[in-house]
Amino acid sequence: MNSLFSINSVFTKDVINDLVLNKNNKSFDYAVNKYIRNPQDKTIKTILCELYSLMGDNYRNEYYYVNSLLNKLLDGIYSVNTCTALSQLRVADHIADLVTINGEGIVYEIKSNLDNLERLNDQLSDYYKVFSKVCVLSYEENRKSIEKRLKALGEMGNSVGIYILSEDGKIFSKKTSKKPESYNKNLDSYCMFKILRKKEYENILMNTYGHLPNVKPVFYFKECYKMFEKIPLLEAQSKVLEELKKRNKISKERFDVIPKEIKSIIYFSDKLRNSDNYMFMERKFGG
Amino acid sequence: MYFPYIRGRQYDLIALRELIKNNLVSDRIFPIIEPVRESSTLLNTVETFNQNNKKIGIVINPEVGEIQHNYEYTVSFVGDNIYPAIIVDNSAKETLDFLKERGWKENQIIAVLKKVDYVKDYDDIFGIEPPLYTLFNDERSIRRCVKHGKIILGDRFNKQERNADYEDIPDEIFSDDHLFYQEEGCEGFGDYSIVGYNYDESGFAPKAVAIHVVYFDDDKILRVHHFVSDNNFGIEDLAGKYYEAVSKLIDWYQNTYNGESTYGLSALINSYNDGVFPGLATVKKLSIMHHIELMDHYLKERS
Repeated sequence: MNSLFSINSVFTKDVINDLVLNKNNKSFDYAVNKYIRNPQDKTIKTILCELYSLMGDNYRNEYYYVNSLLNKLLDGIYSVNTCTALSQLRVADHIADLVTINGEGIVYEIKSNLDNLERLNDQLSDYYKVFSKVCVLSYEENRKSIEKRLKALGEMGNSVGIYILSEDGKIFSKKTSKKPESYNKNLDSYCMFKILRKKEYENILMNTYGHLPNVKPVFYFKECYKMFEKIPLLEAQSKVLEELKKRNKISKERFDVIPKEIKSIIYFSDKLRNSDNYMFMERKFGG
Repeated sequence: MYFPYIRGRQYDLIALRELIKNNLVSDRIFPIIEPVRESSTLLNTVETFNQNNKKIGIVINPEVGEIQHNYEYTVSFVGDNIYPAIIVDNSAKETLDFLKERGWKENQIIAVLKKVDYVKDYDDIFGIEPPLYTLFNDERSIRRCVKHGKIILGDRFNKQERNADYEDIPDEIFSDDHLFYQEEGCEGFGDYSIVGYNYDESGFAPKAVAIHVVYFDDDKILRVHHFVSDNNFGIEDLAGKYYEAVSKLIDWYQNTYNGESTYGLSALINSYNDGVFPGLATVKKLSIMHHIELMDHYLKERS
């Protein structure tokens, strides 16, 4: 398993940034020389494709799961025009791997075969403080262990969706999927508020009350929260989702041309999302 | 003399620059800067010292940061009031050669000897022609070999892993070097202020705010008080947490502190009165400025 560890560093912002700028990148060079035969004559596109396949066949890490999920959701089930995805979103004391927002918010917690299930229940409970639908995306052999853990969460556990990334890369097949159900009993005003950036909560307050607190800067956050807290929970959630949906904006045209192997790297990077220079893909590794 | 040893982070340099610009320190303060990256702030800090005829040392061979072997860059700053400094480690010999090629003599150079492993190198390099000053780590094996221009250099800041941890020991000793350096045959003393020796550029989202303020106790020992925020579980509302920490500072200042007012301390107090959060980097800057200004007052009184 560990022998493919160096592939981890290839599918990252840093590597792609360097490739775009035609700069040398040690992690990339190391992985290429280790796993690719005759790299000199191959294009970057071919190399990334091969490395991605290698990952899919032998080393399905979190990146592979996130990227597969993003491709399916934003390039199949939904469209970027109506759906926004967020990654590594801090929710209460945990960090959600992937969240989609399109009218409703759904959290996807990824458990690859490199992860353990120790913290699963704590993570899921925290996600329910802000979102009503939560799922776990994992591999078939893990299903029973996951279901067992979820039992300890009672009604909350029953609501959790389960999706399986199959050998051939399917995720939403009806046979293996359990759709998430809405669970609102854990919603927490403060956790919702903490997710928002300053502009976002100001938008909500202006929208709801027509004004913002008039206090010294050190008291501003607390006063804004006092106003936010008065909004009924589900209404507050809806407004929060509306603001989150505005993040990571990208046009369908731009999104469609991103090579699938690096779709999520580009999509989740503010810098890369706004440039559409894929010429580097046609460059030969040997220069 | 007091030798604050400052790594070239932006706001730490700005602290030095503003001390000079606002005329807050005398020639009793002789900062040593260890550059960690190329920066325009470094340039204008050095220029400020030059323009005001104030002395400063620049480490030519930094042991941390991004420019550890870029002697061309570091040496570009040295000149009349700007003395080259050499950290005595594996690169000391080549650094000295580099400087000598450019006309510098040993007695115009400041040596920094931090590790006992390099005592022999120090002897080899500076045994015949001693440097202007030697800042040395106060250990017996090192002390023995430094004969002239002795400056004790100590890491006096008890750094914690996380800001919240300072709550456990809100008040502790910082340094008494200033009380004993002369009787130990030294011309001065130095430290890494309230930043500490460890160099860590990793980004983080702090959960707590901690403000470190030094002061003299009744026996003239320098102590440090840590003012820490209360709500330290999440990363939100840094401004609110700052207010919690600085409120404690105000309380202590009004009821306990009986030292001088300094520029740095006044600025922190003003931020409380205005209800403004100046940013963590500025808070660190002001704490460093307070420390250095306080040391200058102390040395002035003693002379």
